[in-house]
Amino acid sequence: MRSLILLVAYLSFLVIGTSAPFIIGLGYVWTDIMLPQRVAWSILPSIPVSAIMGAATVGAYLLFDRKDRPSFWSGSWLFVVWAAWVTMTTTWAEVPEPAWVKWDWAVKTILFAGFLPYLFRTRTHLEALILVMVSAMIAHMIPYAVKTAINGGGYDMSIGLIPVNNGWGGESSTFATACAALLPILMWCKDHSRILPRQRLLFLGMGGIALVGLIGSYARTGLVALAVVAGAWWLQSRRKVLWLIAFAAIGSAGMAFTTDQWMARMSTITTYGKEESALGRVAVWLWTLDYVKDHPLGGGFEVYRINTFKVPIEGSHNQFLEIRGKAFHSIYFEVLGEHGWPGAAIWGVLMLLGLWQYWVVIRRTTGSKDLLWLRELAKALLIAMLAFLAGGAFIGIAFQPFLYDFVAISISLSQLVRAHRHELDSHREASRDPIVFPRSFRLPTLRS
Amino acid sequence: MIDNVAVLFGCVLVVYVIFRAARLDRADRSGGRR
Repeated sequence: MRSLILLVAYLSFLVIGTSAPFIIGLGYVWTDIMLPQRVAWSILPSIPVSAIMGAATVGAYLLFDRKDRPSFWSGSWLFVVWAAWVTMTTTWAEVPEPAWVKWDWAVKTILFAGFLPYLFRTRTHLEALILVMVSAMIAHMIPYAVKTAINGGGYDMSIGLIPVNNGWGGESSTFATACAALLPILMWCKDHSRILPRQRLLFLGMGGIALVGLIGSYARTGLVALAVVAGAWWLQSRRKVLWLIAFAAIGSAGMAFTTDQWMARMSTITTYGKEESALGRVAVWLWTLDYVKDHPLGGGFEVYRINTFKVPIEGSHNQFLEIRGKAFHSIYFEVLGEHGWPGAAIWGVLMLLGLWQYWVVIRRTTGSKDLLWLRELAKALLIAMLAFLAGGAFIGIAFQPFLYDFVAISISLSQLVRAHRHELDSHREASRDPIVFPRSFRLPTLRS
Repeated sequence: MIDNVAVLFGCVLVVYVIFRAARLDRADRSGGRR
């Protein structure tokens, strides 16, 4: 039954896409996040779902949709440079076989994200893209939330739609970061959606599901990402005291639902110097810094497999645990170790481009009532991206689609601002006009 | 059971979203809205 439902949804993109080519592009994004080939039991796992949808997207674009194209130099070129550099580093990879396996999916993720601004160019396109991402993510979050409500959840437990460590929805820390990042996006949908208007309860309910799912994952990374989202909301709010009270109330209510194990796990955030998992992370980060001293151009994908080091065993004196092939557990060290300093610079510029474009969109649309939706969307996505960048400090997700999608959407938003620039300029000019007082405020003239 | 309900919810939602988006896009194009 599940397989059939997923097959119908998958085919819907191709069928409805015949009338609007951007829908097929949405199908690729949905496949990338929903992972139907891993969720379904039969049919879809035996079909190259991503390849079919990717080919259909490019074909439909080239044949029917090549209009209002954004400039290649508005940002897509950086994705191409990044894809070219990771291809180069793979040619000198320390562990070539797994490196080429990762290259195969990573390079597709990068290049397709660079292609997104060409596909999604209007408010409807962008909102559909956001809602498709939300639909795919929420489907993975519902089982976590419901099972957490029933049995309390747990770290790295198989309570999602896909097995543990088999994609973002099966890895607790990535899942929890996605839950936190989804919150500002859901709040935007609640207030500004044209595709699903007047659905405040639906989006608030989804927010609740994301929050319970985050708690149920037991991932400390999720708490870090949630702190970023809460901090950003607080900073941009006008009623800061009210927000503090709301956070305290929600936090206290949340505490009532958490278990002692959850509290014990979260409390280890502050005692990272004593815990083996955290010590292992710090050790692999130090190994990475050492490695790039001798290999400044990086060691290619999956280079972490060659690392070996010792960490002290918890509660023992002079006893060490030897660790081999510890994963980077951080997007920053993943990029640095695999693609060296030039790679870190390109990737850093790509991320900064995303953050910068969101900032510019927010600045440019300030005061415009017609583009309030655009301003608020830029704010929500900026917060979501920051949540991923903060959570990503502790998980190796540098080549998963989320961050690249955020950068791509920032390019689309800045192109929309560019399309409305005359309107925005005239609005700005009007706001600079000298103040004209209404008749009732004018001073009476003296009559002779 | 819960997993199947979640998949059903996600799929029904996404199909409804793309159906509505295609209609809105058609309306945008005929009205020349961006």
